[in-house]
Amino acid sequence: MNGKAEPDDLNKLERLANNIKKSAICGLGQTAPNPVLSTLKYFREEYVEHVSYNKCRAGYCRALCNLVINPEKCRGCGICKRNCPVGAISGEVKMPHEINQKICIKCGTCADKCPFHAIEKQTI
Amino acid sequence: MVKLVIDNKPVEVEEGTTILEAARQNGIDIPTLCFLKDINEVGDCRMCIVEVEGRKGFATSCIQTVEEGMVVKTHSPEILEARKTILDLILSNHHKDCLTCSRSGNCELQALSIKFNVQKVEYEGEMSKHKIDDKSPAIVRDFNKCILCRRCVATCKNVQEIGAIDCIERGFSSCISTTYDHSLNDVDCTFCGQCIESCPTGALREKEYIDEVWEKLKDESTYVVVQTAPAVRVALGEEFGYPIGTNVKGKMVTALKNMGFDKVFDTNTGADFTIMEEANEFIERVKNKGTLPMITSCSPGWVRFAEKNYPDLLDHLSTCKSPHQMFGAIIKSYLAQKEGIAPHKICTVSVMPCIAKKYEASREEMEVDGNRDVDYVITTRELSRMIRQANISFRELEDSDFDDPMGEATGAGAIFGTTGGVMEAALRTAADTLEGKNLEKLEYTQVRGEKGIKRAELSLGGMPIKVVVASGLSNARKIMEEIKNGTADYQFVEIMACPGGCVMGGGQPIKSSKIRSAVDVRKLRADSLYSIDEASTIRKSHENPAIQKIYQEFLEKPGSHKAHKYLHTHYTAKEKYEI
Repeated sequence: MNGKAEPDDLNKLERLANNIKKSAICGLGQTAPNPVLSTLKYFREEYVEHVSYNKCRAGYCRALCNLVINPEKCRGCGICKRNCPVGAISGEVKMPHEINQKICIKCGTCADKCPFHAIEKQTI
Repeated sequence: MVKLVIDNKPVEVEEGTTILEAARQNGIDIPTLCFLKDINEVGDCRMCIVEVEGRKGFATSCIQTVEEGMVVKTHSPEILEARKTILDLILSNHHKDCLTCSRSGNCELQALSIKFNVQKVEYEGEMSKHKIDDKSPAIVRDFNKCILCRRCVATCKNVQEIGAIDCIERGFSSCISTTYDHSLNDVDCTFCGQCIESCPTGALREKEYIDEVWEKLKDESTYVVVQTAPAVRVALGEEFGYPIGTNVKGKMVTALKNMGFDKVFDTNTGADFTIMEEANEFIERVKNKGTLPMITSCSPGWVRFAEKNYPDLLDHLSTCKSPHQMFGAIIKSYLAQKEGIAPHKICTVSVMPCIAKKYEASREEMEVDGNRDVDYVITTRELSRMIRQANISFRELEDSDFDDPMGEATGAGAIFGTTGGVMEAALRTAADTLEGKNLEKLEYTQVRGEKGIKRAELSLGGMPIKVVVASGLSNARKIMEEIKNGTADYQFVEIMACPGGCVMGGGQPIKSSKIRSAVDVRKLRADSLYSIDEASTIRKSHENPAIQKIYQEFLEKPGSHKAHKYLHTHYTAKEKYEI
């Protein structure tokens, strides 16, 4: 999820899930690994994309995506700039704004606040 | 009998046996971590899982009982992989600072890591962080090393019936702690130290005073006197590879002398003082119709328990200090006078099998004329560490004797270290005093043995008396309830906080769960003490010439004003922690 996994980690994850499933004492422990095991079975290519190409096609893994402002949609209202908790957004009023990726913590506040849906996730 | 197959070996065991026991009875070992025989059988660490044919998932061998026709595999590749995963997961949230851990070399988790050939940390990630609780004078808790096996919780709750600790919080924040996460010092803990004995890792340990003692030994202007409790000599050897219960008194004394202690004394002599005073107090109480039954007060864990739980019944406790406190007071008065040393220049160190003695030595009232009776208490384990630090080859040492003038102790003093011993020693002296002659009857076997509560009826000087010996605080509570209800028909009670007495104290060498389930450690150590008693030429405290001399020269007689000043104490009710 943070882009540091290695290809062998997928096998490790599978082994871990199987071992927990077999050795846990309670029903919760025996079933908790199931979501991991079934996604590994049916969506393995997405796992491989994450690990091998650092790509998250759902745009969910923060470490693998950047938040960028689409200049075509941005009207320069400044709401995102005012709401950004780390001051990563700059721009003149009525001009397209910009996010400084070095400062951005990818919290997603700007995307939630933007009235024009101008903030998009972009895979790295 | 039930027939089953374990690792292709057909075996037959009694019904109700667990798979683990069945395997061990037949020479097949299964690794365990949270399992502590008869105390903690909950199956929460998952280390002992085995494969049972026809069963989905693995079975927990420490709690799963055998069934007819079961086919069990304890070491299949799948099992080994699962166990290794479990160990890796436990290690992922364990502070692995083995180099600086007091349990290094005697840690069950470390032993398993070696067994499973752990070469790297498989799962690295977030670690829980806990503050270290070292507020109490006796126990240090470092829950960064805790693996949540709950052996300490079970010991506190089921064996001692105190329940000072339990699991708090949920999930990743789970932690073994006290009510509202207070320090152990502020709750109902009695400092018996049984939790330390049951901990598989270094999460619970004694408060060390090793550095302080070395400082005093370095300081040439301080006269450092050490005394060793009876139970230490039969356990210290275990730390140096001797079989359990080996009496290493001679080597221990040589080691202490080599380390630079100016005098090495035997707490057994202190125990003889305790008997003189306690037997006298008992006879006085019987004759003058004082508060009966009288209860011994040698065990500081028990005293703290009584002060917290039965503040109205403190009159029943003997006012005698415990042997090492008495001896400390004598050293700083009689010996100081005799050797011409100012009491404040003397430092008294006690080597004890006990954790609560550390707390006892720090109690306010344990001083005479501003001189602390005992300055430092170190445990058997700490002594073994000091011997190693001093680079002494313990096994190569010659034997030597305790120093005079208080080196001679009786067999009565030796048996103080086991449950029933104080009672037996007191009865020997009380019987002689009441009869007015030297009786041949020495051994009171009714008060010996492993039972938690032992009752006996005896005749002392023609007077029938009933005595009770209780060890372990759960049994102490039963006796106290009887006294409270008025159903107690006995006159003399001995109570020890630790189950089995001092030989099983919280400061003794820690035995792994496997050893504890295989051998009766208490019996081996206690038998060794009884054989010291049997081999002694003097077996009654009042016949000890050193004791007689000190009474003649200094204390006058048992129960005298001077004896009260140096050898007796008082108790105060302590507030119980109420939620």
